Order: sequence, then C-alpha cells, then structure tokens
Amino acid sequence: MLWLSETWRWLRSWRQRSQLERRLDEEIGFHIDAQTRKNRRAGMSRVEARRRALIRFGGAEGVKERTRDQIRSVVLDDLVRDLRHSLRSLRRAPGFTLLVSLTLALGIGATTAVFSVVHGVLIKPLSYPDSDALMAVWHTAPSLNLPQMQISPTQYFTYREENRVFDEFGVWTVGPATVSGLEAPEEVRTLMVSGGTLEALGMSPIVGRWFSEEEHAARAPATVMLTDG
Amino acid sequence: MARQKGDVLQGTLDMLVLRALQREPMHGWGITERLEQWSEQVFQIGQGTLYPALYRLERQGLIGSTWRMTENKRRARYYTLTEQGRRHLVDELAQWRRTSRAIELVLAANP
Repeated sequence: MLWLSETWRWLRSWRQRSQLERRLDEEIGFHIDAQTRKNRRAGMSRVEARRRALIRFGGAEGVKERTRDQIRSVVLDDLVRDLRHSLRSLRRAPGFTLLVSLTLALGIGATTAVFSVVHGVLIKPLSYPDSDALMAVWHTAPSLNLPQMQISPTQYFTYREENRVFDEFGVWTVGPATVSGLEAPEEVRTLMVSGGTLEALGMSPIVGRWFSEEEHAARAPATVMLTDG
Repeated sequence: MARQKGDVLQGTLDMLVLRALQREPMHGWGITERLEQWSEQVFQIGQGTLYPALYRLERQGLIGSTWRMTENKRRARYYTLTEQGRRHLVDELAQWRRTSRAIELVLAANP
C-alpha cells in the first residue's frame, strides 16, 4: 500500500503549495514594511518611505514568481524524481519490463474485447426509439419444468383481442431458409413475424414499408423483407 | 533573467546567507540589513534573489524556518541554520578562502 501514502503525500504537497504562497505574501509584506519603517526613521514621509521601500525591493511580483518556481519545483522534483527512478529500474531489467508490458497489453486487449462484446450485446440499448419500452414476453410453467414457453395460436388471438397494455403486439419466430439461384445455395437466417411485430419497433424501414394487412392474411403469398445486417 | 553579477554571486550568496545566520536566527529583512552593514554598504543584496535563495536553501535542508513574533508584535518568518547547513558553511568558507587566495596570487604575480 505504499502507493497510497505516496499519493497522499503528493496531494498534500499541492495543498501546502497554496499555503506556502500565502505565507510568502506575508513574508514579503513584512520585509517591505520593515524597510518602510527604516526609511521613516531616516526622515522620509510615509508615502515616500513606502515608495522607496517598494523600489528597493524591486518588483514584488517578480520575486514571488521566482520564489514560486522554487516552491513548485519541490512538488515537481518529487514527481520527476520518482518517475526517473522507476524508468531507470525498468531499463535495468529489460526482460522483466518486456514481460510485464506484454502481459499488460494482453490483459487490457482481452478485457477490452470482452467488454466491447458485452456492451454491444447486453448493455447498449437497441437502436429503436424508446427501446426500454420494447418487451419480449414468454410464458412459464415451472410445475411442468418449462421455464420458458412460446405462445400458442389461441393464446395469440386472445392477446390480440384483449390487449390493453401494449401499443403494438405481435409474435415472431426465427428459422433458416435456403436461397438458391444463380450461385451456390446459401442458408440464411429468417425471422417470421405476425402483424404488429415490426410496427412495435416504432420506426419505418429504411427502404420500403412493413408488411401490409393483406400480406398477413392466411394463405396470402409469402412476402419477404431484406435486412442489411 | 539576464546573466549579470547576480548569477555569478548565487553560490556566493548562499554562503553569505548561511554566514549571516551563523550566530542567530533572523528573518529575511534582517539578513539583508546584516549583510549590508557587514559589507559596509557594498552588498545591497538584490532582494529579488534573496527570497528564492532562502527557499532554495530551505529545500536543500541547509536552513529551517519558523514563524515568530518580532519585538513590534509583527509576525515574521525566522530562518535558522541547520546542522547540515553549518557543515556546508564550513566547507564553503574553506573553499572560498582557497579560491580567493589563488586569485590574489595570480593577480599579484609578476607577468
């Protein structure tokens, strides 16, 4: 825990700095007053005595600045000295330094990568407006050992008719599909949606439109929308 | 800051300040007065260099400082010579005597 006391000491010297400055002001003030009193004893008027004292002192601000440099260099000296010492020690053990640097680089890189993924997948909000109002709803039947069940058609129709909680409501499921044609067949992921699912997102597609009512009707020809993901 | 006689005197100024404090502690103004008197008005210590010097010497541990009340009931910072300062002063004096003697010899030598 040495670093803790070192940091504390370093912070304290910053605080001491302002104290030192105030004291310096007081010290210089005393000096000029003393010279003024001496001048007065020599017979000068009060105004003249002070003026001469200030001239003799030669620019209080300049003095303060140069003295401040001395004060500042204490704090800076400590810091620079510590840094230089550390660098020297590192240079004397190149193998160790290299190993530590690589380990750090690896650790930082790996952590960043993991966190980026976690952030992108879990933490970052969905890019839809008001995304925390989007809900996915599952059923559960713990006594049947079914923690997460999907929805049946009757349930869907009931919800659709009786829904008073959600603005939009729809169901969806994912599955694969094969795209064949001129080139070799390719398997793509698909999302099958009922009416209301895409409308619930609260935005329009970049190009075109969502599915229409007729396209959702039973036995209507299958229609497809493309994504660019 | 121009390189004038002030700079040349910096090491010497340190020595003079330490010497001024040898007998008793004193505040900054008192040091200038003392040096002025002792040098018969030759050394009007550039007061611009005195305080930086004092702070530098304190940082190096050659002098210490405390706040005290003067006879006029004013608060002033008094500087004291430390043990390290005393040793340093002795060394500097010896060095100075050697140097100035050498200079004298050279100046007095027959060309």
